[in-house]
Amino acid sequence: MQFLSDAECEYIRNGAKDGIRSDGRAMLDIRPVTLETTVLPTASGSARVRIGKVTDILVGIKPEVAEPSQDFPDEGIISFTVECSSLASPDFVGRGGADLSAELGQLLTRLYTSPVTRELRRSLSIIKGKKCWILHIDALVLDSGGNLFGALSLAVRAALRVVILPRVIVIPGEADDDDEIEVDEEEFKMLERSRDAPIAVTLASQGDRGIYMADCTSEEESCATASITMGVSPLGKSCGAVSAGTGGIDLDTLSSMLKDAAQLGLEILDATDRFLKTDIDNRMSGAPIVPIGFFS
Amino acid sequence: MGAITYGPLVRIDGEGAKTKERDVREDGRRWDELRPIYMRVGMLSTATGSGYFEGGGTKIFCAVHGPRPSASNYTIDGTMHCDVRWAQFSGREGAAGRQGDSMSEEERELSSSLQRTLASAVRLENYPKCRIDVSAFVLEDGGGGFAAVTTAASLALADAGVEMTDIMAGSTVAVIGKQLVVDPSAREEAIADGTVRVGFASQRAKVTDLMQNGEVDLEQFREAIKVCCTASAQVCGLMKECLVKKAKKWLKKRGRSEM
Repeated sequence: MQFLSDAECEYIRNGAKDGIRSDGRAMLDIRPVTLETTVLPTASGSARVRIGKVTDILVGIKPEVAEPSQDFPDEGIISFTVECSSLASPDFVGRGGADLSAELGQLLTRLYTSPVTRELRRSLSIIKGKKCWILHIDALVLDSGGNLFGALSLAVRAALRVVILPRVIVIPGEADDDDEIEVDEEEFKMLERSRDAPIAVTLASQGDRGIYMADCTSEEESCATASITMGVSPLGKSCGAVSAGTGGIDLDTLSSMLKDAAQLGLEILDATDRFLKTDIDNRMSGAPIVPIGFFS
Repeated sequence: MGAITYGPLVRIDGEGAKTKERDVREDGRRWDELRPIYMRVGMLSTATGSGYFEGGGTKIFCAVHGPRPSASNYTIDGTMHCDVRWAQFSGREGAAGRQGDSMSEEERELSSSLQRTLASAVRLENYPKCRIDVSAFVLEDGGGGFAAVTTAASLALADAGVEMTDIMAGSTVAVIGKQLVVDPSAREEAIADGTVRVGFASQRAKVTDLMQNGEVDLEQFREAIKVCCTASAQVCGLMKECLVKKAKKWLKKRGRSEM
């Protein structure tokens, strides 16, 4: 969290009243997003998202065969670990990032335990009640310049779209309980239902009625009075929402914020899906892909 | 469903009580009817202020300690620390309330959520160098536990005489199919497609805390928030009544009949 003087806050808020932001964007514009998939050779799926050349998130997925939970025997498990490394902000040094990490992790868990992603979790099941895939999704915040929720959810979704799992063969045993599995290390498959995965959109209110902005920079975030983060599924449903900030939001503003968040979410989903489709097609066809690299 | 401590309790009938006869729920309530509510303040002797909230099978104790001098750093504004815990016997799955000091991730998230809601109304600028500790304990969670925590904590803060600009109440709405269900029981929460929880500041008519779980249509979501606010406003009315009653009693004890 950056500390701004009252005058600086006043500048941002007064600008917001007139629909002007310091980097020239309109209220609901988002900064340019850089998305690169399959950046980590040691992970089964990975993605890196940068927003406005500042916020920087790296996500890697490691699959493992495990036992499903008793409550959901026909579903696989998606577990999240978010690490706010002290690289990203001096606030994260020591245990400073722990609260934020927990908050980010909770939101992701909320999005991926929602009924919206039930089919995705079901596709991770191997033998009902006995074996399933558990996807360990590790996210690393390398640099934070606002809109962490949005960047993080985007990176996780992209990584899930490109993750490949080894084919698993079920060898039937004599009794029902004796089924065994064999992991085929030669053949891989992608996750069909990963396109159901949602993203999160954050809108921050700047104190005045009906005034709110999307994709805040950290300066804008630190003088926002309240914000809403909403998970948007590809069908436009809300699949988890949380608020932040102590300002409170009146009902009418909140209502229109939710509508705009859903709209914006669908636009972002559409744009990233178009990109990911060409990206995946290129990789499948073996076309040469020029990596963006870490320091582009 | 847990036993109800005191009766008769305040029962709130929703507006649709007469018109929506066919939508009667498992426990006989209408879709927009809250469970009977019981509130009490000042029942803990060692705390500066305390509040108890009971709605159906949900029972919350909340204590406020302070404002007292902060042992750590000097701060211009006062600081507030919240601690929300579910008892192991609260009947809520996955809740911690276990031995030792470690809170579950969820409890940690809810604690900071409570802190934000309360901080929106507490005049922390009037408590320099001080800290206020709010601890809430969920004895029994028969649905809508966290919403009830918000209410109990507001009561406790008011009882402690902490300066506030507003009073907050929480409420939950579950979306089951196409139907919105106010103040769901634990069973209703379990079968719901999604739930919406709102912390509401009644004087300013502002939503201070919002959380949604599961899957909810956008239109349902917006409607649910409105319904939550109406329900919270009803609860706020009762809270004020409860606090005024306590204050009158206190004045009477000191031989003054009027404020």
